[in-house]
Amino acid sequence: MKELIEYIAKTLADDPSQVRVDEIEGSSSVVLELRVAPEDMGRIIGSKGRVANAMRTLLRVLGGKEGKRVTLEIVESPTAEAADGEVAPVDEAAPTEAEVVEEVPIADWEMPSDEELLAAPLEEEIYETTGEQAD
Amino acid sequence: MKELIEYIAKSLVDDPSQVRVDEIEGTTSVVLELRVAPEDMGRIIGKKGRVADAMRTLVRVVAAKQGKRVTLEIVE
Repeated sequence: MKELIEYIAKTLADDPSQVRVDEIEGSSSVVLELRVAPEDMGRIIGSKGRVANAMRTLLRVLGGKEGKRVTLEIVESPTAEAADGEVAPVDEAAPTEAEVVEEVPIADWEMPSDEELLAAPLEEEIYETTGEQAD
Repeated sequence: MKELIEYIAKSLVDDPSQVRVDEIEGTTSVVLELRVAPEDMGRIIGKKGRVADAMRTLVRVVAAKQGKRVTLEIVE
């Protein structure tokens, strides 16, 4: 399955060197992540997603032969992400305002005394985690 | 173009040895004739011609890069 998509994408793309397909296999389903150069995103997806859907149709036939459901995801190639601002990547790992730990200006900060430190309750988590990992 | 259709068809069929693609090239248009084993016709055309249309969509992108129009015919 991976090979088919790789072959098709490399044939269609202007920059075949940036085509990458990762296959994540479950017991009854397969996820294919296709990465292409930002300049090739339009051609690989096609108007109204026609090209992407054509690839999905072919994958469904292939998946059917193996009794698997196939999902094709098209991801912008991370290496060239900054080159073209056409599709702004959403940085999910970036903290929102509420999650930013308040900073105390250094001048206003004093080392707490030993008594204060001992009296302070133990905090389980000093920083709130976002619960999401960077891609 | 021929190679793309050949690769796709061979991936989908049960009997890749019987896949054959002929390319008839004009100045602005290309006709691709795809032949597969009779048992594979259903799979290669698909329900309501969906698989055939998917192949047409993909080959059209390649043809457009070369400034050509392409017709994919599936022949028994």
